[in-house]
Amino acid sequence: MSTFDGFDTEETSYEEESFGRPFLGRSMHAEAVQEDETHVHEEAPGSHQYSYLLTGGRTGGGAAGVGIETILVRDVAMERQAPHSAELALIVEACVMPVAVAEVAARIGLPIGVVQVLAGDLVASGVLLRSSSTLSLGDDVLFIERLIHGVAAL
Amino acid sequence: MSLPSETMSIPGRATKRPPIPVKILISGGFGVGKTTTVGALSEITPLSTEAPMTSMSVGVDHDGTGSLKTTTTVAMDFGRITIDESIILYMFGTPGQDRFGFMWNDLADGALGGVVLVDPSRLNDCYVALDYFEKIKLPYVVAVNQFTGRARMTLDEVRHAVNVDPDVPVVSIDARSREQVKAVVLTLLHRILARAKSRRG
Repeated sequence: MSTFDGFDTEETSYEEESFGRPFLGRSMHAEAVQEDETHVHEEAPGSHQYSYLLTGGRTGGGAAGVGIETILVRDVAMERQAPHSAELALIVEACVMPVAVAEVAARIGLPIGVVQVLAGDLVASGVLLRSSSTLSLGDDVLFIERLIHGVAAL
Repeated sequence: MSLPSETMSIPGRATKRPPIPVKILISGGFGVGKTTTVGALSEITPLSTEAPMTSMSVGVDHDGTGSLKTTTTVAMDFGRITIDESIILYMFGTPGQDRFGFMWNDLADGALGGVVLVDPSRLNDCYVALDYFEKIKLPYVVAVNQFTGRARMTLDEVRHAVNVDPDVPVVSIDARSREQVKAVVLTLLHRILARAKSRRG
């Protein structure tokens, strides 16, 4: 008899053991990031204070229009220039292929809010291209029909 | 720094605009099967990213070490499904609890639709997600994750208990089944299509 019933067993004790989950908090990637850096931060990556340092105190991606699902890709037409920080370099590196902000955050081990802000900067300076807005997709009949055909064919 | 428009491309070195992301939220209480659902359809092992808790939760969550730390993070699991060269579907498993309410707006912004997962033995856990989707008028379907050995309810009983509009689909799902998760997503997309058509008039 299978013990796996389709419910997320790893989630059931979430509240009690939220810091014991492998992907929560300090991921392996986040530690790797720290090793790459030459200077020492007082706060560990992912901590509240460290996040604010990285973004210069800014929060959210709303102003730059960068959502958690916004897809980014490095603009190959742009000259490669030395990024201003290790974090920016990591983000640019992660965007060689089109990838969503949330995926970048997960892969390089930075909080999603930090990546939203920094990615917004990289879009503004032309280093990254971003996907167009998705706000009106729900009213686009042709698009939804195309999506339905695509999902049905999976 | 003055830069050319992002849509401008240099001949021979053109970068195509990135694909359009489609965001679908998979919500429900803890342990209801959100990550399993995401994983059933995702082409990648579900990834997890952390969202920092903001001041709204300060004083609510303590890390138990006696430190003064008043912030913590919450994980969000998500998966990716490439539809074609210009559309990528992202399914976000979203914590469906009151105390994570601060992150709902960021999650729902630009979302195409939602799936509310329901565990019949813990019906109450789904109400936060239901109420939120209703409030922001996000099209959604209710998917009942039920198996032998767990409390069972008919779909009609669930519909009656959660009291959703008659036009909100209430379907059953085996969150482990790729085909069933696909069917639920299609049910959601057809509902979104119907709404788009009715709006067009």
